[in-house]
Amino acid sequence: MNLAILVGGLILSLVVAGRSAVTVRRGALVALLGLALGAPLLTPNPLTLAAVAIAGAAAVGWNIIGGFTGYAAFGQAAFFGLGGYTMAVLVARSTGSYGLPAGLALPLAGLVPALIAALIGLVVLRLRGHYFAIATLGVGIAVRELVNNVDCVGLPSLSRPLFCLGAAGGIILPPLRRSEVAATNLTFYFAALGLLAGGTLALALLHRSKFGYGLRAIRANEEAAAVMGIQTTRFKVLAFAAGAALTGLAGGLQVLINGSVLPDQSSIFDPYRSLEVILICLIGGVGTVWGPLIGALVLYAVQEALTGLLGSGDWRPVFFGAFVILLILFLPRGLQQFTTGGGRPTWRILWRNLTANRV
Amino acid sequence: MSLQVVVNGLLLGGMLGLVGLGFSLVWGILNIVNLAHSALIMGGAYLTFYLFDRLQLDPFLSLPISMAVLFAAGYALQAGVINWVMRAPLLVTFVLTFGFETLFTSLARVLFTGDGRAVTPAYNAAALLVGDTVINVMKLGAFGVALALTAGLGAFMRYTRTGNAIRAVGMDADAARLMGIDVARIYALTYALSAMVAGAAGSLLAMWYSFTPDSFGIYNIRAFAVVVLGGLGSVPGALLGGVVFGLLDQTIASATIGGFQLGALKEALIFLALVAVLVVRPNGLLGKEGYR
Amino acid sequence: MTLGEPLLRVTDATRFYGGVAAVAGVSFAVQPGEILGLIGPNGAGKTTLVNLISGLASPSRGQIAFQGRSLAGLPAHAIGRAGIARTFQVVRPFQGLTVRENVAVGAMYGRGGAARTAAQAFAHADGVLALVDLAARAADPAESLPIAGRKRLELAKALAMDPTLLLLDEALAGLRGSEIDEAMALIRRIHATGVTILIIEHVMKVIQGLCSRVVVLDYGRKIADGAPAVVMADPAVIQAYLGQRYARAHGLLPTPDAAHD
Repeated sequence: MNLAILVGGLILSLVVAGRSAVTVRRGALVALLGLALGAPLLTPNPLTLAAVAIAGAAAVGWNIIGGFTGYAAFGQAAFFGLGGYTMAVLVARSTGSYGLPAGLALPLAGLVPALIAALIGLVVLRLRGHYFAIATLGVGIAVRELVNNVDCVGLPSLSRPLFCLGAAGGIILPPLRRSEVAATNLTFYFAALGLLAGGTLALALLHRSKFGYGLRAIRANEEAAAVMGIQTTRFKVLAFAAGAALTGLAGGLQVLINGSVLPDQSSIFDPYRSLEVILICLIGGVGTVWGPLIGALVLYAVQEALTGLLGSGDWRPVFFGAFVILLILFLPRGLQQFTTGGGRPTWRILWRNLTANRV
Repeated sequence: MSLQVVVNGLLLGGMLGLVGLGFSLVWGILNIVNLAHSALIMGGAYLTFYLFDRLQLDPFLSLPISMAVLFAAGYALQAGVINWVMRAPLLVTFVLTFGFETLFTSLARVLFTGDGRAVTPAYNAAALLVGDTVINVMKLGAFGVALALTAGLGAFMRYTRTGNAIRAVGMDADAARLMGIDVARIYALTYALSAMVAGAAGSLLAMWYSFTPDSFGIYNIRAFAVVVLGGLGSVPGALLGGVVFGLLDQTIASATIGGFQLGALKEALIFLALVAVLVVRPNGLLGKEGYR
Repeated sequence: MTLGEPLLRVTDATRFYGGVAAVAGVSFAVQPGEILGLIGPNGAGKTTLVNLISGLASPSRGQIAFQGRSLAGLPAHAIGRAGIARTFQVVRPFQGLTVRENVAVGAMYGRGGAARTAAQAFAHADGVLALVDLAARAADPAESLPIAGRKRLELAKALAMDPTLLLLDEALAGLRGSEIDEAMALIRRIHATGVTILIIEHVMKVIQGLCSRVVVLDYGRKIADGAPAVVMADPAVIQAYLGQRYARAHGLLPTPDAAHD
């Protein structure tokens, strides 16, 4: 059933993002919203759908810096994890935590990664291309290691620590009462949905705003953008921070759903998040408004189908890797190559994509 | 910094230099930052492990085997896949090699499990004693092999016809093509050489540390750092960069500040060092045009 | 800025790359409202000079003042906002954006851009597109234009910034016969709106046809500065740049036969 919802949503999104008449696209959008709002009625477990929305929202964050601005970050998982840890520290009730209500903590789960990204960005965004990509890869590794190894941080003058990250033990959030669980799953789903919808809306506004055009000019040719009056450094840092904020919010929400943060295992700092957000945008179209949504739906629909065939488990990263390779070879502009006038999907076009850049 | 730390750092440095050399070859000639490099290293390590574990083949003796296998694998990878996207923008090849790294590492996890592996021949505890300093003989041997391979590759690049063809392609692929050089084949050959060297590094590193499929990801960062510091296109530079980072690695691993083990933050600190180099001296210490 | 003050004053501008001085001690002024030509052989330092003025490089020595204020230390975007716009020798259209969007970026971020909304910037862009005769291609992707169109787009992007001073770096390179005449007419129209222009060109017809004054560079140094006819008769310029044959053909140097009379 989940698969049907995902595929249905995918078809509708492709129509919305495509080139049909405006009335058709509006109709599809309404249908899509209806599907999204009604999905909990159709599926026994809205949390699996919430995971799709969270992945999509995290990818929206990457799209801002990697897609619009053209600075492909390879360590976005760091901000996902930072958002998660911020949420954990604020919501938990152990030492070094603050016991705040989740609603209050969520915005901060976006703010903290944004601030950290701004600081890191001032250094790292001076680098271009390969260098920037590797630097962000390193950021991902370094942040994970730091958080894994830090227990409590405090000032000598304070009696209690500023915050505790729990080092290898992580942080456990207060458990939910059984009666709350069903209602809460629904809340989580709608929160995730809201995040993805809000993120997509933000991309749409960005796409038409002066700031958005500035970012796209930077992506196209940074020197030319600079001489035309665009403050490239400021814009890049803002984009990096905004992207981190959105990805961080997604991470914060994920932690609420998980009920804990544990640094190791397939955790909040799972490095595959870094690849996942890139993969999602690749599928849906890097630098497009609907790309993250389309990409998330495709990715999770395929995973859903494969789980049916292969069962869950270790094959997920194998699949990611293979998928990325095939995608970058045959469909580097993603599915939207077809929706934006690139022709109808044929083997011929795939072949042409492959051979267009050969040695 | 005690003499022990220096010795360990130098020995490790030779290995890191070899890691950097292979990485630098593909980056300098093909202009690809090859994130699959760590996976190739992993290939060498597991191959050596299984040859030792199943066939009792001494790791030094099985080195040519792992080098040959990785050479072939690298050639196939470049000729069969990467050559298709050579003219694509940077992000494309970056993501492609990233995809390969993910694919190979996760396959390894499925096939070889996450259990720690180590290559432990009978002589692995043998050591020379110089004063208080312990020099592990096996590691010393590995260091020697790494040096020999580095020198060998450098000589190959400089003195053989094929080596010169590779350097020519690295300087100007179109001009090389006009002079009759089969660029596609040279690319495949270069990548194969890089894979071979990576495989050798992996085989040697297998004698150093115990490892799981996830142990190798950091070698991309290490390789990048070594090459950036030493300068792209320089063989002695790779060695120099390797030694510096080897010393840095060992110094951090054994240091404590105010009771806090710095070693726990080793990756973060090495990364910081990398960023510092990138910002302050992006051309490295010995970087030059072309390959020397 | 007081009356009679030059719009741009370059004093002893010098720029080293490694041990080589790409620009060495160049001084000249650009008066408001003039069209100044900048010529010289390849490698003479013309583009470097334009990079210094537009802020993509900073001078190793010397000053550059615009409207009486020094440009020292200002980043390229600040100089763009201050009213200096430039085109690139190898054109740089923003791929992924339409022709109209390309031009609108100039209107959003150039002089006066801060006060404009996106919609106002697009309206301004439409006006510029009409001026350069690209209105018909407004909705097309920038990459789809042929070379002549790309040159006009490059010009339009700079124009949309409402510059006081426009630096054209070989904007006409690669154009043929009638295209050159059209381009020259366009530059005259732009000039008529009050823009001061500094134009780097190799095509002599353009320099002679448009410029009231010409500055000549050779190996980074200024070797002449004056009216086109005067400059082109200067033996130093002829030697360095025009070549003996051109000068002879246009009667600027005595032919060997005539000299033996």
